[in-house]
Amino acid sequence: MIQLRDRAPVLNPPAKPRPKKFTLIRRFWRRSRRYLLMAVMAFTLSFGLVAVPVVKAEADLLSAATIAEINGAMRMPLTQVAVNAIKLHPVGFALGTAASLALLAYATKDQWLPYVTGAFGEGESNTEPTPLATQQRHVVDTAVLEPDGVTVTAKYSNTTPFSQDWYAHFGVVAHCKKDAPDGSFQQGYKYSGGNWSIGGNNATNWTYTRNFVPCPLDWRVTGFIVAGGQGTQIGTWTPNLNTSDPNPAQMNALESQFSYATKNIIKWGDMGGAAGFDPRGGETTYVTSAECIDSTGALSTVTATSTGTDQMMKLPACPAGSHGTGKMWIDGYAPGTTVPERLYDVDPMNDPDHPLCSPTRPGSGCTLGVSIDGKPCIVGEVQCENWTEIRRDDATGARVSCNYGPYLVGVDKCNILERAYQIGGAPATEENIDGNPSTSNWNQPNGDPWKPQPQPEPGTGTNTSTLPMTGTNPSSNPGEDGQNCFAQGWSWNPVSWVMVPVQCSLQWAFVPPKLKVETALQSIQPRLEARGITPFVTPFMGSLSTLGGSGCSGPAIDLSVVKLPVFYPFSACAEPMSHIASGVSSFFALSLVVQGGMSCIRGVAAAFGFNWGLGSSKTEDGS
Amino acid sequence: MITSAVIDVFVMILNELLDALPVTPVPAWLADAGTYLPQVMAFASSMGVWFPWQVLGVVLSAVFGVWIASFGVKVARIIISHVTGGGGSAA
Repeated sequence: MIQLRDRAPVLNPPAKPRPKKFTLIRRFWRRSRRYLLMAVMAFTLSFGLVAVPVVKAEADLLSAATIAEINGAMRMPLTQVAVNAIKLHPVGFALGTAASLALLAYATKDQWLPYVTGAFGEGESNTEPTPLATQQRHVVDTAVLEPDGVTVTAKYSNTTPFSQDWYAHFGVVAHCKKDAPDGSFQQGYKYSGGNWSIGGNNATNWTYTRNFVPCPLDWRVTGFIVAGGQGTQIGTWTPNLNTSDPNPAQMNALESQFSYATKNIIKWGDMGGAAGFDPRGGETTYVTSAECIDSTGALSTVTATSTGTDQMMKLPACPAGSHGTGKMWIDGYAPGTTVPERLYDVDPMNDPDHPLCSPTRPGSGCTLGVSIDGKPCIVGEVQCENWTEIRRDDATGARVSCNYGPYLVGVDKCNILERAYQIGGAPATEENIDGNPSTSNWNQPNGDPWKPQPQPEPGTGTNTSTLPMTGTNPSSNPGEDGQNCFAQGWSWNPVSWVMVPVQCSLQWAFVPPKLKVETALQSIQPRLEARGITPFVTPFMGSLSTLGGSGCSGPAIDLSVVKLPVFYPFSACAEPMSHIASGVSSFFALSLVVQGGMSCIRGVAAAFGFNWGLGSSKTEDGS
Repeated sequence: MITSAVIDVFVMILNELLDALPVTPVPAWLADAGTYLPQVMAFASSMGVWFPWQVLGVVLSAVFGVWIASFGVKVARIIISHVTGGGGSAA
């Protein structure tokens, strides 16, 4: 029998450990991946729960808008529908559309799709009032909001041909705005265009399509007003009224500083429907009134009077420094009467994202705010805390601006916000009486509201002595920085004679003189610049202060190349995304605090020789 | 005074390190790269409604502060351990 001899197993030599690369990154990922994955899951789940309801809500909104637009003889192309929907809930729309397109087609087949097709067809919006027997019609047939302008088609009709040429005049005021990266609009902007005539023959019906009335480059239209009227000065219209670049003086007559989304179409022909109002007669008086608001929120009313002999209905203009709230009404005075009859009473259609600055409308008031280099100030931001100093030192005078809502006002208007951006600060409500020259008084008697109180000046003279000539010597030697560590400590109060010297000594030992720090930085700075490090450090350090800035719009995607407004895919300015963003942010904050707390505990424990693996995937022996 | 001495030592070391680096003209593409940092930071800042950057800053500051303090404690323990009578080393 052969006995097999046991053989000792041959052990493989221990593998030489390979050096690991990116240890810190690997360690961070190992420790944080669970929280990151949980956050991503929560984010995705939230979108899944809200995507379909959001899109359904969009469809409901569009359905309501359909009725309003049809009644207002309004046209909205498909692109504008998409723009509005994206603007309202960009993230929800984008994800919901991608994920729920089939469901959307089924759920909204009776609402959305007919609306879209109706907007392109010859729908009810073209319905023209039935002409009276003795009346001409000057109506705006269609007015279409384009992403960057307005296209208006005018129509003139008459029950019987005239024996000579007739002209009807129309004008449009387009209101444009430009979006800012933080979600607000950069500035309210009015742009007048379109003042044209149709006619010139004695036919019964004419249709004239006015070429596109554009907003300036990179601006987009938010509303417009179209007015039309009949002139009695037949054939004497000014040629350049019909150009794409209207005469500014003529535009001023039409221009009214109306604000957002008025979307009103004034049909002079409709006014003729009231008994006694015949625009041809030249005896009927129309008083158009508009509400204006200035940068302080004060409301005022301006009027313009037109008669049938005018070439067009006059629209009032708000005074300089104010703008229209969008509220407008028209009274008609029948010949021989002084009793007005309200023909039009137009309520403004507020832009929900950028409401009008009216103190009479709750929730629509604007607030004063300081911007530095175009960026709105926030509390706690270093530059904003010292914006008055930046303004004082800015030779260009262009860095600091003051806004009342979207409107640029004089910087002095923001003087009450001098300390408002400091943590715990607030707008000034009373005069500065603290006696501290470091704080400013915006209501100083010197008339320079932002200038700090002057430091006391020494008397002028030619004293060349290095020693004071008068006065008493101090009782003891002062400490560094002019402090005396013991002068205040000699009392029977133990807190005073113990704490004051200790505090003073610690300050002497550990608080470096300001000059020391500045000297150190000055010695390092040229070396950094010579070696090309400053171009990275400076922008980075300067940008750190911008982290955590205000705003709810998220990053902007500029779609101006395709004539679409700026797109904010992560906007959380409206429900339900604001709640979701708040939840996600809270989750991240909690994760950071827990992770950071565990790291601190590990660090403290390690300082005393304990190698705890709290919150770490590493074991106690470091493996 | 103590902090001033620490600053002096730190500045001296940093200046020596910087002096050891060559002084060469910075390429344009490298200098321009720094101009994109504010854009990156602005993008990150605009996500502030979704991510608590301020909390991150506080947490990072706290963690680094604790690490520095722990390092100081550990150094102190090492120094103290050399004092006769206590014995032992914390290293």
